[in-house]
Amino acid sequence: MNFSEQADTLAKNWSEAQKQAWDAWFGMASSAMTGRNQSMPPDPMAWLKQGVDAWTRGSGLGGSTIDKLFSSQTNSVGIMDFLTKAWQSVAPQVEAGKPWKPELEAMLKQWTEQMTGAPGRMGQMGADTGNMFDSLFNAWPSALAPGLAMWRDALMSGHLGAGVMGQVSPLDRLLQMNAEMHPAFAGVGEMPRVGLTREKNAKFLRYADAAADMQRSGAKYQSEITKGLSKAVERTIEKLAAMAEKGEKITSVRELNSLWYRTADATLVDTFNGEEFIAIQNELTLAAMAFKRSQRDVTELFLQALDIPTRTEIDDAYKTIHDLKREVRQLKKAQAAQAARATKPAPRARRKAAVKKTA
Amino acid sequence: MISFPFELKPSDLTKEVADINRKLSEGLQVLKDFKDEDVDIGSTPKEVIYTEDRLQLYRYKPLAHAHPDIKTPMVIVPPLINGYEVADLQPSRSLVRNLLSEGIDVHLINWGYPKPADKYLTVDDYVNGYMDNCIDFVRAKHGVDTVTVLGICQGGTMSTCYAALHPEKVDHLVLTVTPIDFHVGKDPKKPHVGLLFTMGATADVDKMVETFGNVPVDVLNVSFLMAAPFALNLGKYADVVDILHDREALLNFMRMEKWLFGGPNAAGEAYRQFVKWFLQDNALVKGELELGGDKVDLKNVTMPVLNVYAERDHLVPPPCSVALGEHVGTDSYTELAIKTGHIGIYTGGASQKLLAPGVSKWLREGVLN
Repeated sequence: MNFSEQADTLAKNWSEAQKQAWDAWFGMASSAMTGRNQSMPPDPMAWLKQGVDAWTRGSGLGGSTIDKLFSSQTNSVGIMDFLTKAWQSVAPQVEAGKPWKPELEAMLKQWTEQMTGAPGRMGQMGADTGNMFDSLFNAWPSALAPGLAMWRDALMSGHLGAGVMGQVSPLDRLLQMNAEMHPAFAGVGEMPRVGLTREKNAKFLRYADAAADMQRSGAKYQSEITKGLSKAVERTIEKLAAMAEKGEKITSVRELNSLWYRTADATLVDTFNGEEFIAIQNELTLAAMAFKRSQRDVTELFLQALDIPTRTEIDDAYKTIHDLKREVRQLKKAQAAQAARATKPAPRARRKAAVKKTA
Repeated sequence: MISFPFELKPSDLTKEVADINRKLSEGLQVLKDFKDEDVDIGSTPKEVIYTEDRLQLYRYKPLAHAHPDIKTPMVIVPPLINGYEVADLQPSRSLVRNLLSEGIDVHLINWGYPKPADKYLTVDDYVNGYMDNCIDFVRAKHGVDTVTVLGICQGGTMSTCYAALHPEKVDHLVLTVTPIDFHVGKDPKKPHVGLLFTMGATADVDKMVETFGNVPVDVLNVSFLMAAPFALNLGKYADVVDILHDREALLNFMRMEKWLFGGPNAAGEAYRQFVKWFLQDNALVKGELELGGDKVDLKNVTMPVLNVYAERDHLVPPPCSVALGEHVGTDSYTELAIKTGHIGIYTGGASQKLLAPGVSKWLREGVLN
């Protein structure tokens, strides 16, 4: 059998083994929930997760260990799957002693595009923005929903200027926050239209900008990680090709996974040490921090209107408490030092001074 | 001659998958019966002898007669960013137990878990405030002028600062895997070594602390896990199938997990100062560090120093630790290298026979051999 046929056979055998693994795991998961084996549902991962959750009821640490155990096994399956496909794509070239990297690069390019988003997905931006705002706002009190919905619509329409700074209907209604909305916000609606209002509106705008920045930075970060992983796949295949030349063999799934873990870790650590990666990681961290702070700024607007202490106000109190505690600690030390000096025996009088002068 | 590098017959694959599934099935029965309280760490008997804010000072119950040649009690100073239990993870892997078995009177500062109100605690608060109060308490309790201080990692950095500021209160200083010089130790051939310091060198810690207040432990853990992302996030758990049937082995695995992922958040201001002053500015070795208005001059470290480091330490490369030797004022400076990693120095099998006995011999005789 040539390499191509052997690679196809390997892929087929692995596919069979995977199915057996999934069947067994699924059986274990369903017996945890219902006590009876059931047939594979449409979404086996979700079912497996439910089974894991059923097993782990009442045990935080045991539960998280089981969760990580299953994640590692499912990831091992995925790694084996991916690597056998990668090997399939290059096997004929390796056997023939021809360059195999172009074949692998073509496969990895396709995979990278899937991981980091193809241009066609840009058209989803409007829906994605809407989803993003839904997730941003869905944890907020339901009383705020009408106002936030109007913000969402204004921003999604793309007419930010009109939606935020002009006198169009959605903004007017938001600012009025009249009686047909929750009465608690009647006071909010009485904010002046000029000066303070623009300042408050600016906080909403910064929140939206920060969310967009975080998404952009996240995409760049994801892209760097994917490039690193892509290089790791290339290096793993290189090692497999080197093994082929030496007549060495991979004899188990765990051995292949172990090869991948070593190679991927070494490759990713090279990536992590690079100046470009560190700069992108710092950019993402800053974007995430800016997002979190702008979220707080917006939240505090509503809390202030409701006379609920904000984090900024509580931090002020914490600082005062800390400074007072420090002062007390220092005073206690000074007092203890003074007490220690007071109880120290007086130095003995010098002998010379004690001798009486005799004539 | 070139040959296909895979030898995976269908029967081999089936057998391997069945074997893993069998182990998983057995192990799940064991795991689901585990309660969190079964996974006991820091279990060596002790009493709380002093408290201040979140802090508790422990005195451990003796396991052997006090050694007549070790005159003063010991105070262990753990890091702020991990739990103290690394020094007492399980009965068979415990620096605390081993020191007690050498007849040493062991105390340990448990810094506790910072709450939001603790975000303004500074390095000065920890070193000249809490640490000094604990050491004064131990001195008064035992009627001694000085104690032995043993620092763990960042706790060692703080202990070094303390010894430089209060040399009259410290008779011996023992440091373990302690970073002193944060700008050395990178090896291009070993990129994972010192990765944490590389990443921290340009981090905008001001923004992090302004946003978070106390820096969450999960954020800190991500940076630790990046040293070997696949091995530490997946490989470790894939291999645990082999011990799932062994309750004791599994318990030990979970003890380490509990310590690794159950640590405290880092008090914000102290974290900011550590990253900026120690890591980024390297102010300690440059002689530019001030705490509480006093310069931290390493030349004032005039007591005997034992500096223990791990040869395979990727978090605190050995050069970061041994740099101390050229800066201290003492004539009695000794190094002890152990062939292990950063955590292995406390939990590794070989370390159990090397670290505590080495510290004890050095305290008694002033030498290691």
